[in-house]
Amino acid sequence: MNDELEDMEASLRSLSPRRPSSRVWEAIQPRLSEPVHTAASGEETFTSGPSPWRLWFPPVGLAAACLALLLLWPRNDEIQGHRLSNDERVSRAEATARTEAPPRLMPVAAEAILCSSEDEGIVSLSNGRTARKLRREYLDIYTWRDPKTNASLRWVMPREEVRVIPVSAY
Amino acid sequence: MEEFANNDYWKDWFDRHGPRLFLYAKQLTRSAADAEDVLQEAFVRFWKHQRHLGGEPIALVFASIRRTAIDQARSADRRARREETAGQSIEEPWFDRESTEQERTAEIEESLRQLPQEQREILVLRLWGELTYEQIGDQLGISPHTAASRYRHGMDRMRRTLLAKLP
Repeated sequence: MNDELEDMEASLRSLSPRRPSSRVWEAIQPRLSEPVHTAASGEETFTSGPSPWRLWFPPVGLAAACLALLLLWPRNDEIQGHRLSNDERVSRAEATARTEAPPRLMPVAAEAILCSSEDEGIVSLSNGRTARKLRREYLDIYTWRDPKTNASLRWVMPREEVRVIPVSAY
Repeated sequence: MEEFANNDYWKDWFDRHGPRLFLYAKQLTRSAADAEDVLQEAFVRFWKHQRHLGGEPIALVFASIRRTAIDQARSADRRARREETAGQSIEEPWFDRESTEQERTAEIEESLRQLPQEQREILVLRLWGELTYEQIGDQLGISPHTAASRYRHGMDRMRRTLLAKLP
Protein backbone atom coordinates (compact mmCIF):
# COMPACT_ATOMS: atom_id res chain seq x y z
CA MET A 1 0.00 0.00 0.00
CA ASN A 2 2.81 2.40 0.87
CA ASP A 3 4.56 1.60 -2.40
CA GLU A 4 1.36 2.32 -4.29
CA LEU A 5 0.99 5.62 -2.45
CA GLU A 6 4.57 6.61 -3.19
CA ASP A 7 4.20 5.65 -6.84
CA MET A 8 1.05 7.70 -7.10
CA GLU A 9 2.68 10.66 -5.36
CA ALA A 10 5.60 10.50 -7.79
CA SER A 11 3.20 10.32 -10.70
CA LEU A 12 1.23 13.35 -9.53
CA ARG A 13 4.35 15.39 -8.74
CA SER A 14 5.59 14.78 -12.28
CA LEU A 15 2.70 16.91 -13.57
CA SER A 16 3.65 20.54 -14.16
CA PRO A 17 1.09 23.14 -13.11
CA ARG A 18 0.40 25.66 -15.85
CA ARG A 19 1.83 29.12 -15.56
CA PRO A 20 -0.43 32.12 -15.12
CA SER A 21 -0.70 34.39 -18.13
CA SER A 22 1.61 37.34 -18.56
CA ARG A 23 -1.24 39.72 -17.66
CA VAL A 24 -0.88 38.71 -14.00
CA TRP A 25 2.70 39.94 -13.84
CA GLU A 26 1.79 43.04 -15.84
CA ALA A 27 -0.97 43.85 -13.35
CA ILE A 28 1.12 43.17 -10.24
CA GLN A 29 4.24 45.08 -11.17
CA PRO A 30 2.91 48.67 -11.12
CA ARG A 31 1.13 48.05 -7.82
CA LEU A 32 4.37 46.99 -6.15
CA SER A 33 6.70 49.64 -7.47
CA GLU A 34 4.54 52.66 -6.66
CA PRO A 35 3.94 54.22 -3.24
CA VAL A 36 0.60 53.37 -1.75
CA HIS A 37 -0.80 56.93 -1.89
CA THR A 38 0.01 57.78 -5.51
CA ALA A 39 -2.01 56.93 -8.61
CA ALA A 40 -1.25 53.74 -10.49
CA SER A 41 -1.88 53.28 -14.17
CA GLY A 42 -4.99 51.22 -13.67
CA GLU A 43 -6.34 52.27 -10.31
CA GLU A 44 -5.52 54.31 -7.25
CA THR A 45 -5.22 52.64 -3.88
CA PHE A 46 -4.76 54.75 -0.81
CA THR A 47 -5.38 54.42 2.86
CA SER A 48 -7.85 56.90 4.24
CA GLY A 49 -7.40 58.85 7.43
CA PRO A 50 -7.81 56.83 10.60
CA SER A 51 -11.35 55.83 11.28
CA PRO A 52 -12.52 55.82 14.91
CA TRP A 53 -11.94 52.12 15.42
CA ARG A 54 -8.31 52.47 14.34
CA LEU A 55 -7.61 55.20 16.87
CA TRP A 56 -8.35 53.11 19.94
CA PHE A 57 -7.72 49.58 18.68
CA PRO A 58 -3.89 49.62 18.44
CA PRO A 59 -3.16 50.30 22.12
CA VAL A 60 -5.90 47.92 23.21
CA GLY A 61 -4.68 45.34 20.72
CA LEU A 62 -1.11 45.69 21.97
CA ALA A 63 -2.22 45.23 25.57
CA ALA A 64 -4.28 42.20 24.59
CA ALA A 65 -1.36 40.71 22.67
CA CYS A 66 0.97 41.12 25.66
CA LEU A 67 -1.62 39.56 27.97
CA ALA A 68 -2.11 36.65 25.55
CA LEU A 69 1.64 36.08 25.44
CA LEU A 70 1.89 36.01 29.21
CA LEU A 71 -1.04 33.63 29.56
CA LEU A 72 0.19 31.28 26.87
CA TRP A 73 3.78 31.16 28.13
CA PRO A 74 4.30 27.68 29.61
CA ARG A 75 5.21 27.74 33.28
CA ASN A 76 7.67 25.10 34.42
CA ASP A 77 6.24 24.72 37.91
CA GLU A 78 2.76 24.09 36.59
CA ILE A 79 4.02 21.57 34.04
CA GLN A 80 5.80 19.75 36.84
CA GLY A 81 2.41 19.26 38.51
CA HIS A 82 3.42 20.36 41.97
CA ARG A 83 3.88 23.63 43.75
CA LEU A 84 7.45 24.75 44.34
CA SER A 85 8.75 26.61 47.32
CA ASN A 86 9.99 30.14 46.79
CA ASP A 87 13.62 29.02 47.01
CA GLU A 88 13.02 26.24 44.51
CA ARG A 89 11.26 28.61 42.17
CA VAL A 90 14.06 31.19 42.28
CA SER A 91 16.81 28.62 41.77
CA ARG A 92 14.86 26.98 38.95
CA ALA A 93 14.35 30.36 37.26
CA GLU A 94 18.04 31.17 37.53
CA ALA A 95 19.01 27.80 36.09
CA THR A 96 16.51 28.21 33.32
CA ALA A 97 17.78 31.66 32.44
CA ARG A 98 21.29 30.31 32.17
CA THR A 99 20.49 27.27 30.06
CA GLU A 100 17.48 28.08 27.87
CA ALA A 101 17.80 30.10 24.73
CA PRO A 102 15.37 32.98 24.34
CA PRO A 103 12.08 32.02 22.65
CA ARG A 104 12.01 32.17 18.89
CA LEU A 105 8.61 33.10 17.69
CA MET A 106 8.28 32.20 14.02
CA PRO A 107 5.47 33.48 11.79
CA VAL A 108 3.10 30.64 10.99
CA ALA A 109 0.05 32.38 9.60
CA ALA A 110 -0.95 35.71 8.18
CA GLU A 111 -4.29 36.61 6.73
CA ALA A 112 -6.39 39.61 5.86
CA ILE A 113 -10.09 39.12 6.55
CA LEU A 114 -12.41 41.28 4.56
CA CYS A 115 -14.96 42.59 7.06
CA SER A 116 -16.92 44.92 4.87
CA SER A 117 -16.97 46.17 1.32
CA GLU A 118 -18.90 49.24 0.33
CA ASP A 119 -19.40 50.75 -3.10
CA GLU A 120 -19.43 54.50 -2.50
CA GLY A 121 -20.47 55.28 -6.04
CA ILE A 122 -19.00 57.37 -8.83
CA VAL A 123 -16.53 60.16 -8.08
CA SER A 124 -14.70 62.68 -10.25
CA LEU A 125 -10.92 62.61 -10.27
CA SER A 126 -8.68 65.66 -10.47
CA ASN A 127 -7.76 64.75 -14.05
CA GLY A 128 -11.38 64.91 -15.15
CA ARG A 129 -11.91 61.15 -15.33
CA THR A 130 -14.70 59.40 -13.49
CA ALA A 131 -14.06 56.54 -11.17
CA ARG A 132 -15.82 54.16 -8.83
CA LYS A 133 -14.88 54.44 -5.16
CA LEU A 134 -14.76 51.23 -3.11
CA ARG A 135 -14.14 51.22 0.65
CA ARG A 136 -13.03 48.01 2.31
CA GLU A 137 -12.28 47.21 5.95
CA TYR A 138 -9.93 44.37 6.80
CA LEU A 139 -8.65 42.65 9.87
CA ASP A 140 -5.00 41.68 9.44
CA ILE A 141 -4.24 38.69 11.65
CA TYR A 142 -0.69 37.51 12.22
CA THR A 143 0.26 34.44 14.26
CA TRP A 144 3.71 33.58 15.55
CA ARG A 145 4.61 30.33 17.30
CA ASP A 146 7.63 29.00 19.16
CA PRO A 147 8.02 25.42 17.90
CA LYS A 148 9.81 24.37 21.07
CA THR A 149 7.31 25.53 23.64
CA ASN A 150 4.22 25.95 21.45
CA ALA A 151 3.79 29.44 22.90
CA SER A 152 1.99 31.58 20.38
CA LEU A 153 1.22 35.22 19.78
CA ARG A 154 -1.69 36.45 17.70
CA TRP A 155 -1.80 40.02 16.48
CA VAL A 156 -5.01 41.50 15.10
CA MET A 157 -4.90 44.88 13.40
CA PRO A 158 -7.75 46.63 11.58
CA ARG A 159 -7.01 48.22 8.24
CA GLU A 160 -9.10 50.35 5.96
CA GLU A 161 -8.48 50.53 2.23
CA VAL A 162 -10.11 52.81 -0.31
CA ARG A 163 -9.84 52.02 -4.00
CA VAL A 164 -10.63 54.44 -6.78
CA ILE A 165 -11.04 52.53 -10.04
CA PRO A 166 -11.31 54.55 -13.26
CA VAL A 167 -14.36 53.64 -15.29
CA SER A 168 -15.08 54.24 -18.93
CA ALA A 169 -17.97 56.47 -19.89
CA TYR A 170 -20.56 54.94 -22.20
CA MET B 1 14.29 38.20 3.68
CA GLU B 2 16.20 41.40 2.93
CA GLU B 3 16.65 40.29 -0.65
CA PHE B 4 12.89 40.00 -0.98
CA ALA B 5 12.62 43.78 -0.71
CA ASN B 6 14.27 43.95 -4.12
CA ASN B 7 11.73 44.08 -6.96
CA ASP B 8 14.01 42.05 -9.21
CA TYR B 9 14.02 39.30 -6.61
CA TRP B 10 10.26 39.00 -6.59
CA LYS B 11 10.25 38.60 -10.40
CA ASP B 12 12.47 35.56 -10.09
CA TRP B 13 10.55 34.32 -7.08
CA PHE B 14 7.19 34.67 -8.84
CA ASP B 15 8.54 33.01 -11.95
CA ARG B 16 9.61 30.02 -9.89
CA HIS B 17 6.52 29.69 -7.72
CA GLY B 18 3.82 31.19 -9.96
CA PRO B 19 2.62 27.87 -11.42
CA ARG B 20 2.01 26.22 -8.05
CA LEU B 21 0.37 29.37 -6.69
CA PHE B 22 -1.82 29.55 -9.80
CA LEU B 23 -2.81 25.90 -9.39
CA TYR B 24 -3.83 26.53 -5.79
CA ALA B 25 -5.87 29.56 -6.82
CA LYS B 26 -7.58 27.64 -9.64
CA GLN B 27 -8.79 24.87 -7.39
CA LEU B 28 -10.34 27.52 -5.12
CA THR B 29 -12.10 29.48 -7.86
CA ARG B 30 -14.52 28.93 -10.74
CA SER B 31 -12.31 29.85 -13.67
CA ALA B 32 -8.74 30.58 -14.70
CA ALA B 33 -9.63 34.27 -15.03
CA ASP B 34 -10.92 34.38 -11.45
CA ALA B 35 -7.83 32.51 -10.32
CA GLU B 36 -5.56 35.06 -11.97
CA ASP B 37 -7.42 37.91 -10.28
CA VAL B 38 -7.13 36.15 -6.93
CA LEU B 39 -3.44 35.45 -7.49
CA GLN B 40 -2.75 39.06 -8.38
CA GLU B 41 -4.65 40.46 -5.40
CA ALA B 42 -3.22 37.91 -2.96
CA PHE B 43 0.35 38.53 -4.00
CA VAL B 44 -0.05 42.29 -3.74
CA ARG B 45 -1.59 41.91 -0.27
CA PHE B 46 1.30 39.75 0.83
CA TRP B 47 3.83 42.15 -0.66
CA LYS B 48 2.35 45.26 0.96
CA HIS B 49 1.45 43.91 4.37
CA GLN B 50 3.17 40.60 5.12
CA ARG B 51 6.54 40.29 3.41
CA HIS B 52 8.30 41.96 6.35
CA LEU B 53 7.19 39.18 8.72
CA GLY B 54 10.01 36.83 7.82
CA GLY B 55 9.67 33.07 7.59
CA GLU B 56 8.87 31.11 4.49
CA PRO B 57 7.14 33.40 1.93
CA ILE B 58 5.45 30.60 -0.02
CA ALA B 59 3.36 29.51 2.96
CA LEU B 60 2.23 33.08 3.63
CA VAL B 61 1.34 33.62 -0.03
CA PHE B 62 -0.72 30.41 -0.08
CA ALA B 63 -2.58 31.67 2.99
CA SER B 64 -3.12 35.03 1.29
CA ILE B 65 -4.52 33.28 -1.79
CA ARG B 66 -6.96 31.30 0.31
CA ARG B 67 -8.22 34.35 2.12
CA THR B 68 -8.43 36.40 -1.06
CA ALA B 69 -10.41 33.67 -2.82
CA ILE B 70 -12.91 33.64 0.03
CA ASP B 71 -13.19 37.44 0.00
CA GLN B 72 -13.51 37.65 -3.77
CA ALA B 73 -16.31 35.09 -3.80
CA ARG B 74 -18.26 37.28 -1.36
CA SER B 75 -17.48 40.78 -2.53
CA ALA B 76 -20.08 42.75 -4.43
CA ASP B 77 -17.78 43.88 -7.19
CA ARG B 78 -17.28 40.25 -8.27
CA ARG B 79 -20.97 39.50 -8.45
CA ALA B 80 -21.60 41.52 -11.60
CA ARG B 81 -18.67 39.91 -13.37
CA ARG B 82 -19.88 36.43 -12.49
CA GLU B 83 -23.28 37.30 -13.90
CA GLU B 84 -21.66 38.47 -17.11
CA THR B 85 -19.64 35.33 -17.54
CA ALA B 86 -22.30 32.86 -16.41
CA GLY B 87 -22.55 30.08 -18.93
CA GLN B 88 -19.31 31.16 -20.56
CA SER B 89 -16.89 29.30 -18.31
CA ILE B 90 -14.67 26.87 -20.12
CA GLU B 91 -12.59 24.56 -18.00
CA GLU B 92 -8.98 25.31 -18.73
CA PRO B 93 -6.33 22.68 -18.00
CA TRP B 94 -4.59 22.87 -14.68
CA PHE B 95 -1.43 21.11 -15.89
CA ASP B 96 0.79 21.23 -18.94
CA ARG B 97 -0.11 18.39 -21.24
CA GLU B 98 2.70 16.61 -23.00
CA SER B 99 1.59 15.31 -26.38
CA THR B 100 2.29 11.71 -25.41
CA GLU B 101 0.49 11.87 -22.05
CA GLN B 102 -2.51 14.05 -22.78
CA GLU B 103 -5.17 11.49 -22.00
CA ARG B 104 -3.50 10.33 -18.80
CA THR B 105 -2.96 13.90 -17.59
CA ALA B 106 -6.56 14.79 -18.39
CA GLU B 107 -7.85 11.81 -16.38
CA ILE B 108 -5.63 12.63 -13.42
CA GLU B 109 -6.74 16.24 -13.53
CA GLU B 110 -10.38 15.27 -13.70
CA SER B 111 -10.08 12.95 -10.72
CA LEU B 112 -8.37 15.74 -8.78
CA ARG B 113 -11.15 18.21 -9.66
CA GLN B 114 -13.77 15.72 -8.44
CA LEU B 115 -12.27 15.37 -4.99
CA PRO B 116 -14.06 17.06 -2.09
CA GLN B 117 -12.69 20.56 -1.59
CA GLU B 118 -11.11 19.77 1.80
CA GLN B 119 -9.14 16.87 0.34
CA ARG B 120 -8.22 18.52 -2.95
CA GLU B 121 -6.87 21.61 -1.24
CA ILE B 122 -4.58 19.55 0.98
CA LEU B 123 -3.33 17.43 -1.91
CA VAL B 124 -2.42 20.55 -3.87
CA LEU B 125 -0.65 22.14 -0.91
CA ARG B 126 1.23 18.95 -0.13
CA LEU B 127 2.15 17.66 -3.57
CA TRP B 128 2.81 20.86 -5.50
CA GLY B 129 2.99 23.43 -2.71
CA GLU B 130 5.45 21.17 -0.83
CA LEU B 131 4.12 22.31 2.52
CA THR B 132 4.46 20.15 5.61
CA TYR B 133 1.38 18.84 7.40
CA GLU B 134 2.13 21.30 10.19
CA GLN B 135 2.17 24.24 7.75
CA ILE B 136 -1.02 22.98 6.12
CA GLY B 137 -2.65 22.63 9.52
CA ASP B 138 -1.68 26.19 10.49
CA GLN B 139 -3.10 27.53 7.26
CA LEU B 140 -6.41 25.64 7.36
CA GLY B 141 -6.92 25.76 11.12
CA ILE B 142 -6.72 21.99 11.56
CA SER B 143 -4.27 19.67 13.29
CA PRO B 144 -1.38 18.15 11.33
CA HIS B 145 -2.91 14.76 12.04
CA THR B 146 -6.19 15.79 10.43
CA ALA B 147 -4.31 17.21 7.45
CA ALA B 148 -2.43 13.93 7.01
CA SER B 149 -5.63 11.93 7.33
CA ARG B 150 -7.46 13.98 4.71
CA TYR B 151 -4.43 13.68 2.44
CA ARG B 152 -4.45 9.89 2.68
CA HIS B 153 -8.20 9.74 2.07
CA GLY B 154 -7.86 12.01 -0.94
CA MET B 155 -5.01 9.99 -2.42
CA ASP B 156 -6.88 6.76 -1.86
CA ARG B 157 -9.96 8.17 -3.54
CA MET B 158 -7.93 9.32 -6.54
CA ARG B 159 -6.17 5.99 -6.79
CA ARG B 160 -9.48 4.09 -6.94
CA THR B 161 -10.91 6.50 -9.51
CA LEU B 162 -7.86 6.24 -11.73
CA LEU B 163 -7.64 2.47 -11.48
CA ALA B 164 -11.16 2.28 -12.88
CA LYS B 165 -10.32 4.62 -15.77
CA LEU B 166 -6.74 3.99 -16.76
CA PRO B 167 -5.04 0.70 -17.64
